Amino acid sequence: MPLAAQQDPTSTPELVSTAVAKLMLEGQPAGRVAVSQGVVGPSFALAPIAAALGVELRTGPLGDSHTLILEDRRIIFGPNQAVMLTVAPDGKTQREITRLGQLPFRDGAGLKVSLEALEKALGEPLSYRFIWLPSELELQISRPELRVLEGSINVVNQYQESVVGIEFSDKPRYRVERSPGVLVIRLLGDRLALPVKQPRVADALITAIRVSEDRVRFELADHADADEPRLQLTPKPRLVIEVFEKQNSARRVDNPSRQSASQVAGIRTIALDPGHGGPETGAIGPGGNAEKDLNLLVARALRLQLERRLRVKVVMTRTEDVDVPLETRAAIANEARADLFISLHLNSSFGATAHGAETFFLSREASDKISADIAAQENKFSSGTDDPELDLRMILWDLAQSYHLAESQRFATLVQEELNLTLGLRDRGVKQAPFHVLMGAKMPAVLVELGFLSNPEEESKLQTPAYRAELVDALVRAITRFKKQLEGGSTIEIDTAGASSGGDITGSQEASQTRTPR
Amino acid sequence: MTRNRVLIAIAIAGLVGVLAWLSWPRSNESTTGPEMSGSEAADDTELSSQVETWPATLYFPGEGDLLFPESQELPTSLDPADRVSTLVTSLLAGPRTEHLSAPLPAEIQIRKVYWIDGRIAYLDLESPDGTPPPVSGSTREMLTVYSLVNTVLLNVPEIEGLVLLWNGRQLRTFAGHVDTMRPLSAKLDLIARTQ
Repeated sequence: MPLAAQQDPTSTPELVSTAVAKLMLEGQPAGRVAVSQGVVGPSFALAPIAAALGVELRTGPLGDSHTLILEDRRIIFGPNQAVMLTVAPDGKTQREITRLGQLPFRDGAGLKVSLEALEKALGEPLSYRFIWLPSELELQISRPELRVLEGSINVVNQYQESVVGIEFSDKPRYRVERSPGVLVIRLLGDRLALPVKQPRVADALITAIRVSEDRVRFELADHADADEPRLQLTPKPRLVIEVFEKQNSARRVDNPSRQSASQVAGIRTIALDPGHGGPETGAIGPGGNAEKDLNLLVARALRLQLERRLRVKVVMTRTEDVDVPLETRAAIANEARADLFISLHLNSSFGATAHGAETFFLSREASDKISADIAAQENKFSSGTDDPELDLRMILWDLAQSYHLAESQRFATLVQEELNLTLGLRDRGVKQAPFHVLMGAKMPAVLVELGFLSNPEEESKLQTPAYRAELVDALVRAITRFKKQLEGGSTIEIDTAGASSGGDITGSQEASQTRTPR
Repeated sequence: MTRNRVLIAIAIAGLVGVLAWLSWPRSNESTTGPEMSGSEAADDTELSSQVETWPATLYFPGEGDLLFPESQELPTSLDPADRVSTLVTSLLAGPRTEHLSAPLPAEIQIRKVYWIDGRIAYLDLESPDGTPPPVSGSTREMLTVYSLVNTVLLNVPEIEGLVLLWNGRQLRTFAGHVDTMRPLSAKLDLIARTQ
């Protein structure tokens, strides 16, 4: 992928159409907004949206930087800048750099930004939700209904660190705010039902926990620091915050509680994603079996085997019959810093004869539309900055995308081999597809279709625990082989030429670049 | 009595008259619709012969979980949106070839086809009562999505990407797998190779 220096920093992303859309605020007309449809999504003129929300938008003297003035922060955008900066009201103290998946740009209507940028810059701080209705040419802005969540807090001390869990009655919308010695979980559009059950703090690392209806504030001891809070969704939504002694931060990997996971180099944590759930049934077999139920049974059995046999940490995107949004599934894996993401599914097709297993990884086309475009844009941005650390991060991020795609392909091949060998299933091959659930995963990720629920014979087999155990066994063997390959220090073949959009890919189609595995 | 006989005779005569009127051949009367003049009829014939058709190729799901091309002569139009409508209407109506399937249930219709002014077309599909797209596994979903995408993109060269909407909204996926948040490109590897 070309690097920053080769990009024209003044160019705008490829546009395919422009129009003027209606702007609706809480169901009422609030003016009109220019919209451009780019290859990766729509972009909206920022000025009329800020005006509709009563937010001041200042433009820099050169007309490049655009700053949204909010009560507690300023948010700075720039044309062709792939990040937005959040700074304190003083305009200097930097708080956050947020990567944008779609490049802001400027045209006759002023600076245009993506829906994602609107949500991050205005939606989260002001609790607004943006809904774009392309068929109506209408951008709707509204505040979601205020929810009052039940909550409870507990603190567990272990090995010179304290683990705080904040359990919520529903998935919270929140933001993390940090300042020296303080960590705040601020609820966005939600409120906590008071009083919240919480422990009396007698902790060497946490000096106080203060709860109000819109925030939980942790005051840390001078010698303490906290990891980034992680949101777990199962069995109940729960924010987990690990607080530790600063002097021990470098040794935290040796903590006995982490040891079992860290024993296995390469694959320490695996995210299992039982496809569908809740009202999203997935495929329904002719015998009435819902895909979501069988996916969950396979995932539970696989989790058990992986924990027993490989001694890896397993996180599940769901453990019961609930609907988890596709983005959240990848986010759960990312939050857990999983080394592998496996989405488990059962297939269906037209007619009842289709049978066999197949394994997918993200198509180059889909990956390119996201990562290559973003990376190129970020490279553009990085060419205009003097921040070498930022440059390096962008380049590493770009490399990581190629690396994960190659690893995904290799792992998919192993899964397919094991399923074919073990079960004598028809080899439907390793394929690439633009599957939404794979797009957000920041690690090697595959989607496995274990059989056709639309085929009565396969549906019948999938109902039996013995058959499912064989499937699980095949998956465990594939994961074991993959882990051994990583541990063995073999080079990783990255297929940069052969992974055209969609053709069947086999393990033999490798070449061109080599990278050392992690 | 004589008076009664006269009344009955009048009634019978009246009835006969009505029946005779009803059964009388009326070949010179027009149909109940608007009368069509000879010149208009001739113009209509000319018009229909002037409507150009083109050999469109529709892609229907079939054996081996692939898309099979089926040629159909469809009326053409200078407006690409009209051509997309015609193509998708024919696709939704189902194949003429045996062993192929329509990509979606018969009750699904086009709500609107449009674009703003560029190369990305928007195909808005409508389901009765606002029901979501049918549940399915990934293979069926891929065949459904790319039956639509390939049929549109491989027949209408002005269009380079297709955005699928469902009841006016852009869904993340139709059935939990294929990303439909972006303009989609044709997927050629799903098309069966003909001998």
